[in-house]
Amino acid sequence: MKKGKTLMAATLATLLASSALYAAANTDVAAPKAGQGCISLKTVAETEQEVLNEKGERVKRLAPAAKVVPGSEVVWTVTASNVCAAAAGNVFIDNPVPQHMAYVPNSATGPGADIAFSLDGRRFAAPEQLRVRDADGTERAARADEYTHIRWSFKNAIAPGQMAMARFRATLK
Amino acid sequence: MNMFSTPMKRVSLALLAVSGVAALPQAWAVGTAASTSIDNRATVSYSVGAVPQTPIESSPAGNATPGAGNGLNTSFVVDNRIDLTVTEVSGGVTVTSPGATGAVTTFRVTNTGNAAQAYQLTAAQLVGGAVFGNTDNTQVTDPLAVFVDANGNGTYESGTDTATSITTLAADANVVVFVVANVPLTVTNGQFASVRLTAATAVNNTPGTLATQTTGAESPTVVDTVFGDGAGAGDAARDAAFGADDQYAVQSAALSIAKTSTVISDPFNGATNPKAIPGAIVEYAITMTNTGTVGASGVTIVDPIPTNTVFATGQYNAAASDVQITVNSTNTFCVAEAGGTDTNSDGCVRTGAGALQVSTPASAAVAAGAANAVTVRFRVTIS
Repeated sequence: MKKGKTLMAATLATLLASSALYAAANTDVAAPKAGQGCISLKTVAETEQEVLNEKGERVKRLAPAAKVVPGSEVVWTVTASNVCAAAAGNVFIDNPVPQHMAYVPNSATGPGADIAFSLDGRRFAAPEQLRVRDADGTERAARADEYTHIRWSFKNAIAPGQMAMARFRATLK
Repeated sequence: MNMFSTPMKRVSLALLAVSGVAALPQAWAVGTAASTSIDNRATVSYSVGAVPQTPIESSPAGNATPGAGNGLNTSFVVDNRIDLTVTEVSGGVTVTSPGATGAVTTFRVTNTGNAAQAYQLTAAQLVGGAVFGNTDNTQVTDPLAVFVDANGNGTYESGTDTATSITTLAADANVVVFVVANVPLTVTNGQFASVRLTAATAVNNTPGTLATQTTGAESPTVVDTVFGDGAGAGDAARDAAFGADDQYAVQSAALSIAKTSTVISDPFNGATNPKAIPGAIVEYAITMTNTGTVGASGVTIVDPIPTNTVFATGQYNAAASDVQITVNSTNTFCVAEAGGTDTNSDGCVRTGAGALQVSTPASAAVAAGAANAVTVRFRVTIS
């Protein structure tokens, strides 16, 4: 609880600072194009595949999801690109863990983002704060495969032309 | 600042006690079915100039049109993972005997992949090697027959279980397969004949066409085929085939026969140191020992009465019987009628050709083991 409060305070401070900057910077920026928002959001599904590099060595790289069968791990990457002339602040990306898939523990990454998880898509918290009450009444920490949603809260604004990235891995059940 | 309140509040929640029942992962025995579409769509919320903007949903190529429903799923279809096991069912040998027909070994083919498949079934004999710790050292009769259990009762039924391949087997389902063999008369007690059943995955509902693995780049919208099976007996991993071994154990009766003669009495010395002179009585003892592992039944002994001797009647059972049969120190008796007709149906008769014949019920069975040896005694008078 204490840790959570500290984190919250720090995040709040960052956001306050950011928003102050936007307020100053946004006075004369162009509005987004008609019917368009300021962010283009893109989701890709990839798998790690072994390929030969130019030296003939076997290397793993991400390629569009191929040969996904039960047990396969898929890397989901969400990129938020700022497509207008104004900075986008207070950015958070919500992504449900796809149906038939299980979130791989500790796989969510996002530079400059606080990452929280949810068991119901409404309440988000750090993994250690997610508790589950089993049918017999005993309470335990939620397992990663029980997470239903992931939220990346970006501490800094996305400047025009810049992008933010959120990524996680999930295993096909 | 109002815009921050919603996410901040959510993050600050210290402990979520959620009913675990709904949140528990679904139990997937063999995994998500092939051709299932896996869909994903993210949503971004943001502000411009401290003004909250309408959230934007993601698309595979990037979407900037705000509002729910304006994004597109990023999707792929689950590919077809071919995976199977073949196991031997009984956990031990199938006992059979020389000349047996329709000796059955039993296997189970299980589809552990994520789509229905067909299977080709092949049975082969092994040469050498151990199964259940028994070295293969004989062969049953080729070709072996393979049949699929049609009614799921696990028992081979000739005429009912006739399919020789599996036309369709759902994911996570299994079916029993029988290998049926005839056993040559030439095999002997204690020999072992090993057989191997191999199931090869074929296109569902088309057992004549073996499954092939998709090569090259995949399309997210096409169900590719991936071999994910382990190595079975005699097959490699990821070859869409799986083998398992079973074994026939030959058990048979093996009779050995011994014959001794003893002079019982002669006209001059009586029973004291009798000599084999004309008029002397000689007893023949025929002993059958079964050195096999199963009993022999329907045993018939035919022993010609030696020339220059005459079958002596009334020698046993207080002069009531002609033949004494001893098993485990217990005596039984019978009368060997002359002329070839067993008038009292006791199994003993003297044939027209002048031989003593002892058959069922007098001789009955010869159980395995030296202790169960059967001794037939009869007497003759030297002419």
